[in-house]
Amino acid sequence: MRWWQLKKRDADLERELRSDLELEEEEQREKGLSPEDAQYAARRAFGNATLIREQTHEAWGWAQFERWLQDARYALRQIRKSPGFAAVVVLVLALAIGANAAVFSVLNAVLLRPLEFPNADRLVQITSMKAGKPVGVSGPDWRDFATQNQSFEKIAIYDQWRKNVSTSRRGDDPAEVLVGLASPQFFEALGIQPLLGRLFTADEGLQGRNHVALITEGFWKAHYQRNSMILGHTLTINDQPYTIIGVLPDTIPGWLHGAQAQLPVFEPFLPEPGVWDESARAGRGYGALALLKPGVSVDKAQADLARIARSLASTHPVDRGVDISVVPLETMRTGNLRPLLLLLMGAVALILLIACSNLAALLLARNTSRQREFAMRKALGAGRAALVRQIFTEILVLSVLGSGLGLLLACGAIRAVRLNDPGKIPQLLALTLDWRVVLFTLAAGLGTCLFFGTAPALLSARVDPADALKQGGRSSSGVARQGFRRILVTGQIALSLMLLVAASLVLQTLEHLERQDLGFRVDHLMRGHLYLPPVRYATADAITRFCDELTDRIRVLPGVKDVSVTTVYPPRDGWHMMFSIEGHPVSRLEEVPSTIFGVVDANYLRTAGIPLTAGRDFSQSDREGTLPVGIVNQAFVKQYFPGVDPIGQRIELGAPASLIAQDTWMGAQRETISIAGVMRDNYNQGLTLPVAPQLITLFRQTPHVNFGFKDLLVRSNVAPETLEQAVAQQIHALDSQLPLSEVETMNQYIGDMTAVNRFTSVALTGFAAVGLLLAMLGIYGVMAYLVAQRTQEIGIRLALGAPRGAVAWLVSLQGFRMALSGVMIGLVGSVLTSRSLASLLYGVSALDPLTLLAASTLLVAIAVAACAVPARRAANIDPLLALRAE
Amino acid sequence: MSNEKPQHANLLLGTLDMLILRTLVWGPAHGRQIGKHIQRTTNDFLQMQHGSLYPALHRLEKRGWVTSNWEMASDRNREFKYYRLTEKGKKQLQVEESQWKQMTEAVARVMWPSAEES
Repeated sequence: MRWWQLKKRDADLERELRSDLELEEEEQREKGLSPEDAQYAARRAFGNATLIREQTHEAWGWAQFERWLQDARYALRQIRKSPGFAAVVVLVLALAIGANAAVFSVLNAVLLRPLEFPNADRLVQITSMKAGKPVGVSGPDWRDFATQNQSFEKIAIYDQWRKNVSTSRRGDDPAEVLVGLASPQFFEALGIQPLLGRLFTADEGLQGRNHVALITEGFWKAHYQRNSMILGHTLTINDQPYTIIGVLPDTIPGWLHGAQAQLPVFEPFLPEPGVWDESARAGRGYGALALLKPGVSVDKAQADLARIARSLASTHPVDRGVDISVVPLETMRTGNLRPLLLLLMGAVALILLIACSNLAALLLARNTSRQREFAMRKALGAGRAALVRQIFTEILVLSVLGSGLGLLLACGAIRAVRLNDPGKIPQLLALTLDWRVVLFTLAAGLGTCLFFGTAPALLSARVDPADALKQGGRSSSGVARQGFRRILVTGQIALSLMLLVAASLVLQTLEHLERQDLGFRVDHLMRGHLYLPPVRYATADAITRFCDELTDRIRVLPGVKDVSVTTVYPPRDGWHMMFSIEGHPVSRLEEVPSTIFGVVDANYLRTAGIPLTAGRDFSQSDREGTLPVGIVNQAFVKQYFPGVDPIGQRIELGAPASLIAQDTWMGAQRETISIAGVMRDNYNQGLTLPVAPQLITLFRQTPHVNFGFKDLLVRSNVAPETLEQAVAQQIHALDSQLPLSEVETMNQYIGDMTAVNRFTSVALTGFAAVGLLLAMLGIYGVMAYLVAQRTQEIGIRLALGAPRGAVAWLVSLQGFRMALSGVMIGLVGSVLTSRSLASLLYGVSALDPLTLLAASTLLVAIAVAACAVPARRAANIDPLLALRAE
Repeated sequence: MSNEKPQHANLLLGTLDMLILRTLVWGPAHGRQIGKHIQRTTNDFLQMQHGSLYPALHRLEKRGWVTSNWEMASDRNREFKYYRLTEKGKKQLQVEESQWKQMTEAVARVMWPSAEES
């Protein structure tokens, strides 16, 4: 039923009644009555037309609806009468509901929205685990899983590499992009159909047949203007021609690859020659995606793979101690954001609770002042149910207004997040306001309405007409209502305290992360990434020569202080490398020491600003042919040379020859290094993990680990971002087809690493501020109301000689007592919920006593401040006026 | 007694639907005609209350027992809203008629037992 239908039918009824009435009139006239008398007679015969209409409406079954419309109209009139009150209510609601809708839309994007793949519920990620850490699968492992399992329809192997991609046949003007490497099963498991062309065939994963590429829709649009004749065109990837065979829809999310954005180009999985050889079994690090057979559970699949892993471990020593983990793809998507999201959701739920209790208090105060109105309505015959319904309608109208405004606020917040480079938190790329969010907001609004409206509506409707209509009637039920109000305020303070504590802890975490001494000089440092394609830089010699020339050119640029080409830089780790210490043979593979490892040039420590603590730095005299030297960090010394002078000690890179077959991939990397110096510990596993043992060597002395991946570090005297152009020009001058990518200052880089923390702390701080504001309003409102209620009593006290200071003190004490009990409850709440917060904190405990104390003090201070105005007003009451009012 | 205005509003309400349906058996009629007809047929024993008539008509229409549309009256140069009995309405009339018969017979048996037995 729609209201316009109602209107139409109402008009129809009116016409019917009028035409019958006119007929009656005519008949009366025909009987000989004068027109006037005829009219009267007809009216008389017809009776009360309005009543007929109302009764007919009843027959239509819309009376309920009409009554509600009436109530709504009345409610709107009431709102217009007190716009200030309405504005406060709508604003409080909008803030609370907007915050909830915004956080819910994040939750929706990351947790709730189903994956866009046909068999999303059967997709899992397979990872090999070593000592509890995920290490990825290797090619041979994958092949054995694929042939021996009984649980999967398909298992795909995939990876992503940064490569220089050019859309021209000659390969000029390349850009470094993330290229996905995927076995044909990858797209089959995801159930992806190409928009154009075809997917990889099984034999395209083989050497020599693999020069085909798939591009995604975004890349197609950006580089080929959606030209449908693109199939068969040549794409140059690392100086090699690849034929485009198909266009993929943009549905493969970057997080699947551990990347921040979608990958634009895919080629068949074949990252290096020999990846399928038995010698590559220990070369883990690839992703494996699998489609479960229908009806097979994740646990069963895991058990199945564990069985295969055990049999592999019995034949291949390198597979010993390797476990298998099978994780649904849905879980992968959430990644490490789950605790954060739950925390944020908890925080906004607290906001909503505070807002609810605030609104309940506001409504209660307002309805108390409207008691005479309610009593009048009751005296005029309105039932209690009618009163409750009417009060509810008013709340509902306010709720609808507040929810609408809240939704607008959420839209704004989402736009702000999207504009603020959401790529740093890849899951937020999918952030939108979809129907789930709208539905949630509506439900939150209605729920809030029910929650905060019930008590005031019921309490207010309990009015006794006779009592309230008496002049100046002060209702006796006021005591109960004041108790309820105190509970509300106490609750608000408790919830605000919890919010404040959480926000403060997360802020401290961010502070720790951004201000901690990372062990190197973060300022005035720029970095960028280079990839020297093996076609043109085939030998370690060629790579070294290019890097030396490049650093020579950049070093003389104005503003440049130092420059270094390296494969690692803090706070990032390099790759892990097994080694053996001369004179310390081990007998089992599990006992082989390992370290984070990187190859650098001689300027690395100076450029990065890492001080030496012992020994010497690399020098230009450390060249090919001389004994290779390495520098280790303090953690390395502590773990592997406790109480021994590490300088001059010799280690051998790679797994010990006695434990691993000579011809394996790992076995080939063997080189003796002499430790020349010790560098100060610098963060090398991100910002939150402790410093791990690290070893760096010169790439010109360790050619077999000298790959084409290089990072460029530039230390400057000027603002580092001003150098980007000049540095890129120098690279271009040496090799016009070599792109420099990921150029950013180290400060930006660190900032990106703390993006999630900053997002959290901004959100939580905002929520805490809203919570505090609401709590302050609540305390003020209640105290002001109490003072107003007790005007006479205070007047009498003053008249009887009570000093004004004592009166002010009395009022303040009341507020102080509420604040104190609220703080107590809030502290208990903080302690109870501290565990859920702990995983997001770094450098501060969830039960940090200083934080708890500071937050408590702040809240009590705010409460007392909120009491100040009512207290002053109480002290300034004129006893004469107060008594006369009685 | 026959001159007194009937006070049996309840009885009337309960049977009004049936009376309206029965009236419409003669053919389509507008509200005023229906009311008039009932009043006339009962020799003014049943006074038609407009406050009951129109809600009843709309109730019957909502239940699908009658339909309505605006038509020109044959005797007057004006449109009236004519109600017409539907198939569903005819069936309903039969149901109500038989119920009413049972009811009056039952009541009669209690009120005038000897007369009934003979």
